[in-house]
Amino acid sequence: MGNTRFFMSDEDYNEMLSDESIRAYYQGEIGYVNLKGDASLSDLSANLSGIAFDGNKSTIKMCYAIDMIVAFLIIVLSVCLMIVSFVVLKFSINFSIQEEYREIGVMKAIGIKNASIRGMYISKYLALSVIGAILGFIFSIPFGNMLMKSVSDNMLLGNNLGLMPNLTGVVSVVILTIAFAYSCTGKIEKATPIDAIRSGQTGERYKKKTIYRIGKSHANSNLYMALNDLLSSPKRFTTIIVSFCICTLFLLIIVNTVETMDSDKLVSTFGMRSDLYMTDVSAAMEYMNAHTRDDFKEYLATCERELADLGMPATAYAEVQYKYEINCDGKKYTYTCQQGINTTSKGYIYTKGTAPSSKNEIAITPQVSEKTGAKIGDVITIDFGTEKLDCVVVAYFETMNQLGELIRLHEDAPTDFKYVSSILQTQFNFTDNPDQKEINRRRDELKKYYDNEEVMNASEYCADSVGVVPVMQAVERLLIGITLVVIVFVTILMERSFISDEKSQIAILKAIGFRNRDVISWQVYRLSIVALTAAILGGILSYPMTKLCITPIFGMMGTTDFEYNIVPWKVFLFYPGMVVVTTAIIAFITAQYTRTITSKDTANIE
Amino acid sequence: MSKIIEVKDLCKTFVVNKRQNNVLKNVNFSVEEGEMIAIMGPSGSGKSTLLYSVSGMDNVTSGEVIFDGKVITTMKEDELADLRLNDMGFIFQQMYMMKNLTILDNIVLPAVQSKKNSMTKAEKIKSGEALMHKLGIAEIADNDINEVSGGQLQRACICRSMINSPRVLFADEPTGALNRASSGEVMDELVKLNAAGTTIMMVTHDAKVAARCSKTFYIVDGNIEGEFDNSDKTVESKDTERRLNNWLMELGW
Repeated sequence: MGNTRFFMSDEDYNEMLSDESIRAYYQGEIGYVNLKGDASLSDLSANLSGIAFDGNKSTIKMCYAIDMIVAFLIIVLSVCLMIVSFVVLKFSINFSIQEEYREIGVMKAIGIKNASIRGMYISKYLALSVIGAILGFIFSIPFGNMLMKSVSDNMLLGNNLGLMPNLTGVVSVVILTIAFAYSCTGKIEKATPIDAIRSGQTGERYKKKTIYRIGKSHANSNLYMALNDLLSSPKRFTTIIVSFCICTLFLLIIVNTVETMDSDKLVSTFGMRSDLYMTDVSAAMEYMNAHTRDDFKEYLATCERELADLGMPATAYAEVQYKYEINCDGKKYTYTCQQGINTTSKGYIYTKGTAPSSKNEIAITPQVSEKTGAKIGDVITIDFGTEKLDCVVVAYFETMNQLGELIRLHEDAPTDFKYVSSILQTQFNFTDNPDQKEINRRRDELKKYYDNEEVMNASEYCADSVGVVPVMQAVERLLIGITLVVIVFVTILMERSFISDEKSQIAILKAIGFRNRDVISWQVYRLSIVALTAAILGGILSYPMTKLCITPIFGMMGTTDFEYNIVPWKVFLFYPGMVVVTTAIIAFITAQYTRTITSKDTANIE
Repeated sequence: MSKIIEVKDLCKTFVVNKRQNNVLKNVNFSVEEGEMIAIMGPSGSGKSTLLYSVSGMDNVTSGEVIFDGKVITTMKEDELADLRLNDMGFIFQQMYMMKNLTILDNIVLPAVQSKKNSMTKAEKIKSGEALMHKLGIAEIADNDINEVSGGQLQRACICRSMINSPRVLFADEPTGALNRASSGEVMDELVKLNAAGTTIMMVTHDAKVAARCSKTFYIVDGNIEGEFDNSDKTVESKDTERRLNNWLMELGW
């Protein structure tokens, strides 16, 4: 992280280098090495000079951590959709069986075996799933090709599996649907013929359902009936609450992730927190090539003077990365070591141990610890070029720079600019404690002063370093849209199922004097309460679930010890509200169908 | 006694498969307040359609139904709903209730819904309990609807229909799904309600039930073919039943 890396085709590469201004700054080549036997990359790179970065296949893969987040979100969405689909399938199978319960009873009474009755339902769902699967298969070909094309353009990959993934998906869908339908139809075997013929509507049967009494309710009768339905049939509504909760959670996990990436919460994983950050590529390249640390300090002092002249007193500092060969437990490695200029090592955050307090003390990341085996208290020898120094590991820290593979040096460590691999942004910390509004004003002024658009506040710096916030925001919008579409479909399906199941009750209500709007309110209240419950649960669970699902991905990028940027009004109000309002609106629209059920339908009650 | 229901030239036509089916043909009659009317006739003669048209549950093709001086055939759905809630009671052959409510809560529901009913919720519940007590089903107040017998459920439906003290009670074969004993009990209750002043209009197939009403309309092919008056309470009930049976046989029953 911190640097944007590109994989490109030979054509793109040659085109890029045909630009003189780019070629002038171009410093290196990428070499691909196939290792054989016991050879290790660290041994190899340690024995070569001028290696700016070495990474094995798995490290390079980490460059795509953000793509992995997007892929992960799409996988989670797919899983959510699958769960929701199965919940809906279970719901519709149950409703279908319930509606035909009497017929099932009659079939049983005249001697048709359970297996045959179940077979009838299975055949129905087999036919439906086959039709769906065929349609899915047909549509998957152009969509799959489209996706593969975009991936191939960017990553030089192709699909050599042909239509096998599509076919596997199609067959899996059919098998899963049939297996699920088979388990759902188990209810048929449990009921006796007479249970089924009575349809559970009359006669002595079953356990008590009603627990919420009208006398205890302070709500109007429409709201009372809605609440009573939920309390009387908790199992039925739990499945819907679970579906909506999954949708809400999914939505909030995305929101929390994007909000965190778009905030300054991750700033300490890139270096020391400061008020403004300035990317000055030409200055960095100039000092990297031919100057000393003191020259760079002078550059920072000049910046401080310029800022003071502009009426914004500040300290200026920067992080410099060096590539050094190290020796740990007799084994050689090459690692990037980071040292602040005009900062002290005490100013950084460490997850364990104490800040390095002398030049032969260092802090390492868990990734370095894992690769070298070094723990706090162990000694690592660093070859600074000018001298070799035995450095004691005194702390662990986390960073998203260099994909987490970094060593932090004490400010007195004998670094030399000859070994600089990168100079990060120039950072400004104002000494007159301005508020955020003033900082932003100064940012704009400095942009003009330095004629540099890349002067950023902490949040902008974070977003810039992470690099894909706009992409994530676009993905967020897309996934929110998909989630809402799922909610719309589930609501329509559920509401229509309820209306179908309650047709006779609706007719009775109208016959005894309930107006259309009363019946509609009853229906809308019920699904809105379900959505509200799911939204509240989603809101409560969103933080732990975000940590559970997303922290491991950030962990792959180098950090797990950070705070998520939870925006309360978004997590507890806006997005849950969106779920509830969407549900209520769709339930309201769908419930208009109850207008077609009139009091005279009481004559058709079975 | 004043007229509570007046039906003028009532016609009801269904179109099924592009074929016009005239279910009610220029029906005219009136019902006095406090009467208990039975509507009889062969299957498909239009009995239930007449009941639903007169009670405003079904719209009519032409003609007028005047309820307590108000023409209900031109009323909007919400006005009709208010009328059904406050001034009419309904009992159906199928004893259908809200399945997630207890018997008492089902009975009290229309009272809670009614804005005209000025009682407090506690008073409404007491009123429901009193009705249940009166109809001999007080012990099933807290039961779910699936925990009671058909006769008990039908009496609970009568309680529900009476909770807002309606002017008229409409009943569509209220004893049709009951055995003889339960049927007798339900009719006893309806007769008592009528004696207490509630106008009742019911569809029935049972001459025994009709014999307990003050008037019987016999409907054939959408027309009222005859009217049997048995309001004379001095006549023995067995004799009334015999006379009614004879009259029905004359009409082709």
